[in-house]
Amino acid sequence: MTKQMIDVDALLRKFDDVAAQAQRLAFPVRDIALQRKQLEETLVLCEELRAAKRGAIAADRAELANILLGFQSVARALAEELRMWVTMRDGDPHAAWTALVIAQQHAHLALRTPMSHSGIEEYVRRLDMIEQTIFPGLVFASAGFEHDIGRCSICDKKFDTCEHEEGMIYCGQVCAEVDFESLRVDHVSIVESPRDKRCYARSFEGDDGTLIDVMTRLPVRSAIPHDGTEPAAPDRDAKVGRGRRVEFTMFVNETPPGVSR
Amino acid sequence: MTDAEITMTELDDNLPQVLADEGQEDALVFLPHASQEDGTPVFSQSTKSVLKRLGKDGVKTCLSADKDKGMSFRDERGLEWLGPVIWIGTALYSSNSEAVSIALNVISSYVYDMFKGRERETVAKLTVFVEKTKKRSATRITYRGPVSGLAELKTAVTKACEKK
Repeated sequence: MTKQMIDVDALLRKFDDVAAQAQRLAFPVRDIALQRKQLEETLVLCEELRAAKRGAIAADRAELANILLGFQSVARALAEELRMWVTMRDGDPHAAWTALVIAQQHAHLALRTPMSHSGIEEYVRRLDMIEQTIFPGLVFASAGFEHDIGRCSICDKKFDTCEHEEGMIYCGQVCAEVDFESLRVDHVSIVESPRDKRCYARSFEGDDGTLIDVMTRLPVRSAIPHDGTEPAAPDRDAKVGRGRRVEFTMFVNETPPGVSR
Repeated sequence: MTDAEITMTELDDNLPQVLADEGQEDALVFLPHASQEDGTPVFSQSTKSVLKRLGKDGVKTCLSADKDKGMSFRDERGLEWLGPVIWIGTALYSSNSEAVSIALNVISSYVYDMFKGRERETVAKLTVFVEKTKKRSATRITYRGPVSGLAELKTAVTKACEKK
């Protein structure tokens, strides 16, 4: 057995310990200081798994890299679930929602790796249950784009000239088409099932013209974080006809989980 | 998740002629979804990966566009898989009817792989034109429904191919 294999074995034993502890603390009644500490430890584990995966990729060990991607995805999902509970108790439900969505994305990715088993499916169901019971129903947005042919995130060739397929896993990495030269927004729609649930209506205009936070139902001056400038106060004149103003996050400019750049 | 919806429409009014590249009349042709104001054809984002997957499985394909004149791709950010628009010419079906069946199986397997774990909430959309013996007429079959229901599309397409 090579030294690298021994290290990987030790890392996977560490995964078992950290994952078990993270799951034990993933309840709202647990002490928040313990949850914060566990979140940090789980994020450290994610980095260690990522480094091990990079080693496997460099050594062209596709099977090991795919397994490590699975472990890394589960560790990240557990970390984000902890972050969700911590940020919710810190009074930031939008950050909690973002953490939950990222946890779901990574758990779904784990299902597509060799690590996929019924335990992960059960964990995905747990996250879905949290979404349905802890958070209110949200209105989602989805933007449609038109673009030219980009480059492959796996081999960096023009995407129409290589063999890699979008969304598939190659040696521990998810393939995506990236680096478009021309990109334009074609439309924005309200949808029931967006690809990224971080695109949602964050606040809406109440009867008195103030913006109401969709999570807390408290009035907000602006639901969207600005670049340090004072956000504008709600403007009653912004009403058009009988419509109401709604503030959305329309697009999150991030590559999907598992895509290496 | 809603049930699968399959719509079949007979198009008998002088359709624009779909020309596969010379020598590729027996290929599965991928049509654009729309065109931009300057005429640039717009294909679904999934088109490129589906073409690659079909090529690996030995299905002959061709893109109905002049690469030199440019093309664009539409990426919908919903949890909905917008599949390519496919044209099945009479030459393809009469020379290799198996290819149509294989192609639809390959597409179904690609979508399943891509959305594994989210199959229940993912809606797939796919349009297939089956050319009739009478020139410039076709049957359009549209599918909108769960990934698991794509097998029903294969049945509908096969039926349309046999009917003409």
